[in-house]
Amino acid sequence: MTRTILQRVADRDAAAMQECTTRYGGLVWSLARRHAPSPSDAEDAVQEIFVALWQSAGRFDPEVASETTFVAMIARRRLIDRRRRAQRQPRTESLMDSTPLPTVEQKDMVEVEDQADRVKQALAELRPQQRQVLEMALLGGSTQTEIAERLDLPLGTVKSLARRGLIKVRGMLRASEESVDDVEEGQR
Amino acid sequence: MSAFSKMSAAERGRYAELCADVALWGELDPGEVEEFDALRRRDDAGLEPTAFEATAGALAVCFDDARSDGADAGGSMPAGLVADLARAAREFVDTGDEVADRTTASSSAGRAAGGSRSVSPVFGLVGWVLAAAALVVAGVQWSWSSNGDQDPTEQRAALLALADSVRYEWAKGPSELSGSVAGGDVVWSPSRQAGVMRFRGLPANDATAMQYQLWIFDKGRAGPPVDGGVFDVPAGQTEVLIPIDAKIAVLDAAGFAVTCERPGGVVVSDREHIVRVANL
Repeated sequence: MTRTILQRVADRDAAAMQECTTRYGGLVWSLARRHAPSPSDAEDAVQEIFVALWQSAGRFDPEVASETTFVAMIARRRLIDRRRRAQRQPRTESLMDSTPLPTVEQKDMVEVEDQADRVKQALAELRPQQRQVLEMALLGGSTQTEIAERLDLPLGTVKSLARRGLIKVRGMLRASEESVDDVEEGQR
Repeated sequence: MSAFSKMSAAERGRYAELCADVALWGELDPGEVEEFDALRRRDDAGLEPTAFEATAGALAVCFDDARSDGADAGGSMPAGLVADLARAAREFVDTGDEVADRTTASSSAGRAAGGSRSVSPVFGLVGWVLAAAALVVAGVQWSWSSNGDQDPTEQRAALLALADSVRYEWAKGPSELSGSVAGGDVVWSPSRQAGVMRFRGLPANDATAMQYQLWIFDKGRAGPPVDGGVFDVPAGQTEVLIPIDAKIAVLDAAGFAVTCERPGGVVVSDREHIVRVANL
């Protein structure tokens, strides 16, 4: 069975590391550019993200996420962490850093695309304002305060919209995963 | 049995809210951290925060895909960056987890100095720690949102109040850069994975030339000490308090050391200038 890019990166396969950059460089660069205050900061962020990705490759688990989602998780963690460092606030261990990462396995390409479709479907079920707030937070890296100012909404409303939106998507994905499992179970 | 068998429906709902906040913003309001920690301990599988983070990641990908069809965030990666990544990848393959440290924290400073683009010194050591059975949550909070900053004095006091916190006094290191007096201490809480350093007598530094870097000696892992973050000592202050910024979870802190390093810090210290030690 073909090993995934991240599995091969975990084995220190030089060719796989190049493939990793080629396959996921666009996504990482896009997220970094949207989060970072400047192009040079984005470049530093990209390097930091790929180092983190290479180090974490051995812990990817498709039970929790597709490879693309895993990359996005790592990227978001690093971008949020960088933002904190740039703010020079007193800090403690990141709450995200202490969250267990997915660990590894094979992920079928059909399943990957299916998951992406399910995410899109779940997103379509959200209210427009929930989608907008989630996009600003997750893609644009905006803080709650920035979103509140830009959309002229109370801070509590922003927090509630984002929270409820993410919970709803999580719930829909879990429900569809369980129904897929039920169908597969029935077919055995 | 459900992973949430120990929670009521209301508690499961509240846990979901807090997991969502962590996934969205990477932090919680100070009053929510304890609540999250308590609920997390009753999440048998311990994977709900990861599941929310994965959902957030998947959504980010989805939004990015949609945007890529129209307005773009800024085109493809610059060719120089692609080349740097290729070089870093080769070094990573050759050196394992330690990526060659090539410089300055501040990319603009590095570029202004005429140096080539460099890989930021990050991680360098073991990497993420899986803690599925023992998710460690910071008990004290800082925030770049309107929720307010955590004062290091308050943070230190809060940590000292915890049953598992330890406090070690600093001693001067062997370096001539240590200054004449070594007062202060370091407080560390294993359960919170948080700490605060207090210094008296540590000389002020020029951050463009040198920064201090904390190292945490971890009995729970092999290899070099854990990077506890870089910091500066401003001029004109008799005492400074610095929160600890450990890059990875510290399994069993046995001792602490502060070295002088290049701006931005290093992946592995050459220990040429050890200016403070505690419990070593």
